[in-house]
Amino acid sequence: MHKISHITLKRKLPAVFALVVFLFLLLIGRLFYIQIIDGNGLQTLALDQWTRDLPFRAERGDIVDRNGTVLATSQTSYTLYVRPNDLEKHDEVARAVSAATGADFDNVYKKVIKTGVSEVKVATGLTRSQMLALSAYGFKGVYFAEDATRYYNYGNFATQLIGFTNSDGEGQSGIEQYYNAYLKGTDGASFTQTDLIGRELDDNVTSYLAPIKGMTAKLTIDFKLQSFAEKAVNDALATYSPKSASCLMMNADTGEILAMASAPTFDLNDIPRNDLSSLLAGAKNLLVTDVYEPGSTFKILTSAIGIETDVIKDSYYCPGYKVVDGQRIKCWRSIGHGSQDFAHGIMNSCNCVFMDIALSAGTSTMYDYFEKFGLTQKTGVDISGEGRSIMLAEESVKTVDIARIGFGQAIAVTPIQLATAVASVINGGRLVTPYVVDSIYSDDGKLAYRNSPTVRNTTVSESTSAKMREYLYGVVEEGGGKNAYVEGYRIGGKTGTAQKYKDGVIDRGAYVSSFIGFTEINGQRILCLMIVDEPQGYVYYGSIVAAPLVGQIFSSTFAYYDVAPKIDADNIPKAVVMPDVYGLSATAACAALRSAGLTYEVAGEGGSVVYQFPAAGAEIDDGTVVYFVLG
Amino acid sequence: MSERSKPVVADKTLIFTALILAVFGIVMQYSASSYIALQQTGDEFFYVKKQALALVAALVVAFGCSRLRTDLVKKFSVPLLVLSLVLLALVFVPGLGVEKYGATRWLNLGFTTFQPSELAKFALMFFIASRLSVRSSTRFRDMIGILVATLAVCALVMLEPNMSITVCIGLCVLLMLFVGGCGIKQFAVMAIPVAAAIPVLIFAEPYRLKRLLAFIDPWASPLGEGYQLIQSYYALGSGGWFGLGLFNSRQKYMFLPFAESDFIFSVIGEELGLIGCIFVIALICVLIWRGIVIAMRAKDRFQTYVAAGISIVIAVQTLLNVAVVSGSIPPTGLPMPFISSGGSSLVVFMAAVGLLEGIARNSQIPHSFHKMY
Repeated sequence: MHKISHITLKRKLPAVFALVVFLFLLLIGRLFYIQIIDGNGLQTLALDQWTRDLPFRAERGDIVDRNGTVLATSQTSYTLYVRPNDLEKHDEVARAVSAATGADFDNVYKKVIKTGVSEVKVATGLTRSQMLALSAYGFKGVYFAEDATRYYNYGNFATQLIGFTNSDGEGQSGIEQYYNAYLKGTDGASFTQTDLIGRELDDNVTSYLAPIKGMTAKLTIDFKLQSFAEKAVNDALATYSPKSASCLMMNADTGEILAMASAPTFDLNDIPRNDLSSLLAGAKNLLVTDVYEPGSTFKILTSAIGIETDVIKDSYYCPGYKVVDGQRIKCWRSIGHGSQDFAHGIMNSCNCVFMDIALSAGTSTMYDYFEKFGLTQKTGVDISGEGRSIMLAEESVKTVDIARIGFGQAIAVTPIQLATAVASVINGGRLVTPYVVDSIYSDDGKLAYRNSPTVRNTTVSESTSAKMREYLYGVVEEGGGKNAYVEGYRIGGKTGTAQKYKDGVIDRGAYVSSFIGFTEINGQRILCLMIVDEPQGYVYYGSIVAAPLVGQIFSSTFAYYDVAPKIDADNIPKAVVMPDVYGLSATAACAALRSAGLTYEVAGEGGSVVYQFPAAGAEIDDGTVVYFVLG
Repeated sequence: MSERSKPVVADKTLIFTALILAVFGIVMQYSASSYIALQQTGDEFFYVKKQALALVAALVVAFGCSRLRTDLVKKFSVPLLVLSLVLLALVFVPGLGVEKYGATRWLNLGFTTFQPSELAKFALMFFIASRLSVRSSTRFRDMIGILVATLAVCALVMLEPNMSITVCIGLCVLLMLFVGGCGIKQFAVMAIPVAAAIPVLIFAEPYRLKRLLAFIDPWASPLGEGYQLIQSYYALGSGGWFGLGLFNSRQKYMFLPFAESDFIFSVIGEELGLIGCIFVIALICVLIWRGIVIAMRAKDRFQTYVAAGISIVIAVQTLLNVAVVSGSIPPTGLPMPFISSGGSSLVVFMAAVGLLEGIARNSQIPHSFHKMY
């Protein structure tokens, strides 16, 4: 028998004890690491599972116009939650909720008996009185969370500009999206101590973290001007049934956007969320997102470039077309404008004049100026989804292309780009960055953000600008822009009628009618761009469709700002009667209208008049632009 | 020394430490289980009452064991081992075995359930002690009987399945063999089959591999395999230095599974902090220390080995429990001696303490000398 000695045996025992103690020390080291070094982090994680929190949605900040008129605000509503595990009288709770909210009992009951969830959202959008009525029952396991519901005071008003939020209160479009971080505020919550499955502990003291209201965004928009613009686009929609009508008003000197309206539109308080495609279409701010071929309104830029580069000739002759590189490019008036000076070229909006200017200046110069006018870049307006212009690459521009670009074809820009470029032409040559939010301040009045006018670069000289203003006044006072004229005030502007292209070919009967006008009120130059996309029916000229709407807007604006008209006794318009020109030849019709003291636009190529606007016998001011169609 | 002159309690430190641990255990079990007990049975003292009854029974048994003649233990070590094996096998008899959490580890005794593996642990230690008292484990052939008995017990426990007790028994046997004189060479030879068996056991039951992975990165499956360990971390981490205060555990609100049994140490850490944890470990060390001292002074070799074996079981099982709770080894379910909820565990450990007391009483060295250590 082998046996170890007693001494050996008794030496081994302390060795075992020492080993055990050593291992315990290692474990204590491990515990030290978990409890002391990792302790705080672990406790934070643990705290998260020990408490159930219900959100207290922060009230979203208001959106107000430049004078403080509230356009969008928030209202507090309540959401009812139940913790089914904690509920004692499921059917009584369901009955009370259904009585208070009018919801179907069975639906409510199904929610409150749900298993396997800790909280069930039973009813949302409860008013304060509904909430109080329900909490008076004192049911165990029933909780309320505060929610903020967005409310737009004027509903269908500046819809695309203001935008909307989703049901979680996150901005989805417009200002609501662009300035979401400022507007949304900081949510609060209530914290309840519960067990694993969400039952409230007996010694629970529910704690609250108050939400912080979002900041208020003050727009540069003027509620009144916006109303005028809204009325104009809605009138356009009613009269011409176009695809869309949009209107932009801007302070040409500062870049502040004063009004921005588009139609068709929808009520922000009743968003058609179940019809996503129409929602997305209606939510787009077309003035910023979409490009269009500006047509004759672009001639303002061509003219300015011509004056600036000194390529204007004393006189131009228009036979109704111009041959460029062997290609015959028509003027809009097939019988031609004959011999005319530059001022009349602008008034007549004669394509031949602007082809000549563009060709004289040359592609390189034209493109240099396009860059100065900001047509190659986004304007930087504080609105999401700004579109990019479409232009031929400079090196691939052929002579015929630059001739067309001269009168606003073969180039597509966003309306906001055109507006800022034209603004620079009339404000003395400063290309400003347009903006729509003036300032943002917190609920306690602390300023968080302020926008101010920024000049990106200069485009044309002060003298060119001064000349251009006079020419453009002439267009409204004597030329194609007469319908925008408001008695006793100086308004400048330019009409535009652009054909639309579909898959690269001219889409017959599809036009964009536009007018860009400006006036000076209290030393501020205010610009107004009106675009009517695809007006239906015979009438599509910018001078007929868009110009009167701008006139109407300016007229209201003068009244709003209390600007008195300067009536020149010699210039008081006479009332004339629209003659009947049906069936007359082109020359006869022209003669009849001229003798009646009217200006006119002609469409069609036929031998006799098949349509006239307005109807014979209508009483109108002399000098009004009327319209007939040959067929 | 005459029987009369022997003191009633030979080692007061030992029995008091064990009692303190058991009572402290009941307090902690009350804290850990009162909420769940109230939810499940309507009586927050449900588990604690059972444990208090078990403690009374345990003290009776312990007293009996302290009066047991150790030569009888030696004489009956083989039948006791055989009985243990039979009981372990009976677990698989339908009607007798109780299945919980996917394992059949309990025998239904009618009035209570009993885990045969708790008894088997000690029966095996007694068997080994009796073998070692005859021949030391210096040579391989002297160990064959021990190894066969160990394998038989382990195989039956493994079938339940109960990996943790198996590991616990294996480690205890290794330490016993070390005490019995086993050298490096023999350990090396034994290591080969053990090393081969571990991967086989793991891959035989895929859940063991998952648990292994969960131990390495519990955050990979916070709601699955990693859940228990993460909850234990939350409890310990919330405790910090001094804990949230007695009865102030938050993890006991159903977050931490087995809070009153296998994971009672997490609740101790949460309520009493690192200081509390160290205090409990210190008490256990006192217990082990007393056991080792008693072993060194025992009257004969058998009693030395029995005392050593009991100390080793207490040490190994506590080490494993704390290691699991602190994420130091893969999670396995193993109660903490004296403290975790569980009647059979408490009775068996108290009985073992009773045996130690008996051995101390028989000790050749007068009682007064004990205090010198």
